[in-house]
Amino acid sequence: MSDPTLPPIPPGAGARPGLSVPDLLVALGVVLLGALLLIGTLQIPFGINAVVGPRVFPLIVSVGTLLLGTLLTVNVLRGGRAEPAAEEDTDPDARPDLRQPALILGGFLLGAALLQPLGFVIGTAVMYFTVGFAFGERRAPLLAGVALIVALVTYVVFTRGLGLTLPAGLLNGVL
Amino acid sequence: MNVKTAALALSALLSTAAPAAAQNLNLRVMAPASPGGGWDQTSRAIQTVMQDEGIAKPVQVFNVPGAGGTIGLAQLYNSKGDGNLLMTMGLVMVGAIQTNSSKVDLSRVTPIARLTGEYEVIVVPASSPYKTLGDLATAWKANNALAFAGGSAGGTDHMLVGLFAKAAGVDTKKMNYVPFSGGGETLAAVLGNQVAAGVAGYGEFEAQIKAGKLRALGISAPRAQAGIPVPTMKSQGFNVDLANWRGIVAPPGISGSQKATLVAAMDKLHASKAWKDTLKTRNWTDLYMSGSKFDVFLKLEAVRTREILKDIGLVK
Amino acid sequence: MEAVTSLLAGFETALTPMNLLWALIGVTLGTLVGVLPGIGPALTVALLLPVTAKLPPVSAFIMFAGIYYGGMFGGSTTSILLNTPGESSSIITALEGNKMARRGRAAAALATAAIGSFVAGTIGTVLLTFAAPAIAEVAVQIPPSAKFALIMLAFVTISATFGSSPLRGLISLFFGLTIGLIGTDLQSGQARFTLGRPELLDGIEFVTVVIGLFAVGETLYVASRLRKDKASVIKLDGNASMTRDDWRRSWKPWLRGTALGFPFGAVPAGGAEIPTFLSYTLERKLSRHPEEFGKGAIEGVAGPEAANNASAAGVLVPLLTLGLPTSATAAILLAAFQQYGLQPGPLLFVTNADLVWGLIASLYIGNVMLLALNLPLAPVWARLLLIPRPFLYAGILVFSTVGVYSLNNSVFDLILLAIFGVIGYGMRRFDFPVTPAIIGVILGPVAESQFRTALQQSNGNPAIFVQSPLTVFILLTVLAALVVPAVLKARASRRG
Repeated sequence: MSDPTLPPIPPGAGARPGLSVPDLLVALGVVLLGALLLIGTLQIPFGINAVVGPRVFPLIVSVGTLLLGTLLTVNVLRGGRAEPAAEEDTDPDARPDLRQPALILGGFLLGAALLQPLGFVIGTAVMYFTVGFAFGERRAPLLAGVALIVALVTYVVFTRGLGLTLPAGLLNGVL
Repeated sequence: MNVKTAALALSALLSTAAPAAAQNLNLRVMAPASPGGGWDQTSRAIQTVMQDEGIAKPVQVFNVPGAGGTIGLAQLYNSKGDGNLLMTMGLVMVGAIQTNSSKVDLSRVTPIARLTGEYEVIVVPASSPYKTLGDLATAWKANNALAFAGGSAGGTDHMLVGLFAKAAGVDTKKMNYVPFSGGGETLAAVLGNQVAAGVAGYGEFEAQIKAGKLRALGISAPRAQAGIPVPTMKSQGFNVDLANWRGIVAPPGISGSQKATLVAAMDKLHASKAWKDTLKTRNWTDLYMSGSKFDVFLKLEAVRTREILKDIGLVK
Repeated sequence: MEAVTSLLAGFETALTPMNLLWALIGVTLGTLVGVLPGIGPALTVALLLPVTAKLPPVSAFIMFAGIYYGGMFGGSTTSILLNTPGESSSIITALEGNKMARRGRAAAALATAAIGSFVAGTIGTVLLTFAAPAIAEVAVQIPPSAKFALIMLAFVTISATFGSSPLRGLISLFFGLTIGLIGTDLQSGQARFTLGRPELLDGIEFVTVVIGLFAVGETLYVASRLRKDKASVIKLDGNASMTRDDWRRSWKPWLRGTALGFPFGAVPAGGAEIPTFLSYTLERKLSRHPEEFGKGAIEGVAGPEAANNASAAGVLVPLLTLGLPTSATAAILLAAFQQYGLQPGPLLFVTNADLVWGLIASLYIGNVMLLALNLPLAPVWARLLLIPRPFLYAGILVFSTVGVYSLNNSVFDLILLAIFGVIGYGMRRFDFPVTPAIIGVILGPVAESQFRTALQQSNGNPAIFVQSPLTVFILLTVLAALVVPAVLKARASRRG
């Protein structure tokens, strides 16, 4: 389903030699998640009189996760590796560039931090700008202008139109 | 453009609230729940009446949902000394503070008034062999596993079943309470004959009781209610009195005169005809109580709630 | 027939110019809020409740019903165009719909969704008109054990359907189940996996998970390996509307989706999600083009969209006849009835016949309005995709932020959104399908509560799962779904 030239790897059968370290880390991560869940499950108090207590389903889920994680680890150790998903807008042969998603994430968290002190419009405009920039738009004034307009229109439609409360921040009293 | 026209139509709608002689009291009312729920509806009813009657203007309602209202309560603590802020709350919050082991409680907030409430009823399917509360209690004592359906664990419905168990002499730790997430699932379970009895606010069962599909065995009111043809639990020898009440509190640390202003505003609200009409159309029972009486009530209710929740095993 | 005369009287009520106007406002508003992620018909009706106190009840309910149906229509739009499902019921629509849009077939996808919604909504309304009381009587008899069995069926069929291997699908499903466990356990009142944060006591809203894994995850992933050589906009297929072939492939899924969706809507805690999941797997099994699934198969849009609209009509059955709300929007509608001092239930048809029948008549009218509104709009919406990618992806992120923030007015939810975005990135990078996780989040808690309710009602007797013929039948189907593919595989490999 990902790359037409490489058939998907069935579980337990390594198609290519060599161990993929990132895949191994992910598989071990799943095992770790299962283990943490199991520990957490044993700390849930019982509560009221009930036939099936609050621990039963968490127990099933954590043991299941542990089991599946182990299977995945075995798969990876035998040479299995994941093929990154192919999206319409992605280039399967390009070297992944982690700086762009990091930039988006940074912009998003910065925007979220500014949302309450400076207001919704500034916060979301920051987010808009960083995503646009990360996607290769370099005309900064244009991008900033569009960002502010989109944020402002969204703000007005939601607060005026639907009566939602979004933080006004700097615009307090202006709009 | 479409967005614009709809936005315009809506904002036109939103501003239909009639202007009245505005006073200098402006208020913000926090509904510590999502739009549409009981606390939200109460807050918005207060907003409408206060603005229409000119008791305060503007009145702004905002929602801070989460964790049985305790997230909103924590936020109220952050606005210490703000004399223009109110929060809607009620019995459910008193319980949630206990069950969620919330870091903040109601001991330091400024109580303003208790406004409305609803009594709880115990119902059985029309085909049930139990004709009175006594029948149900006798059967329950013989078989502790009799299933009672109601809202989520620790809520008002659960408390009522706990109180009824105590009054009937059934071990509260052994009772078989089946919690549903609301949304009418309790009603469905009773109508579908899947449980022995169901508990909820009277309003939730009213239509089915009147249509004869459910039999109401008892209501948790202290005395018979006008227009509700259901015998009280007390009149049948079970000393249970529980209202799912809703009230208003202000942040901690407001001055005596600020509190007096807010209490006076609520008194005015309660005395207005618009409020009486609202109670009538919404079927809310008037449980008004303000000032020091409400202070004492809130303290007693916290103690009583803790005791019930301990009995049913939710609080250590 | 009595229902016919009552319905005609209802049309007299609904066809007054004033009420037609309210219906139009309702469907327009509903379509708009359906388009916005996170803001659905339930929230809109709730926010409008105090405003409409001044309207006569008939007009108010005609508008509310318009918002409700309109939201169901509009929900598909963002799913198809932006891969950002705004409602849990349109998650499945995003799977094939967005793939179609990326291939330039957005208008056709939107059209099949709109027509399918119309067909399903109308058939559903007809059933509501003529069979409501009978259906409601049956619906409340469905025991929790049968609902549990149905969810098992959804789990089994779904985890086998998505992903390059069942192992990866299952890991994704279990991840979703884990997220679904977070929060206060309804049955026992105990907090589970909340890490001491009060914000987590109510659990994580599925909207946050869905938007994080879908929209934010995809934005991050695409940014990391952006195709530089391609033109910066998606090319629209010259053939904007549905072709003859599209019609041929759509009409059966519409009808099957309706048949699945309507009964689920009528059952308490049935919901619109399970029928969309089941419809998708069903269409995939029955399609003559199974290879197109995952790349933009029109059946995968037509079926689920019909299912979610039919369930919307189904929801009104128990609401009007029993006063039993089976979905979030229905609960708000019930509050609206109470605001007017009305009590939906068996007596409402007698005491307020003009209101009920006016409302039902307005549903027919609303459906026609929605079709008239949405079909011509489909190519217009599709042109949204002509926005250059930097601006388009940035816009998706801002819309997502508003939707998630407005759930609780809390920045904490935005942090969660970012975390799920990173996880969504990781799942794409390491080939884990996203959909099973979403299904786990939505259905996991329901499965748990139905299972425990069943045993609580029987006081621990497991025989409850074999006492109802319906439950037994569904459980046998689950077993067959597990065993048959394995047997077929074994036989095929022996032959090969």
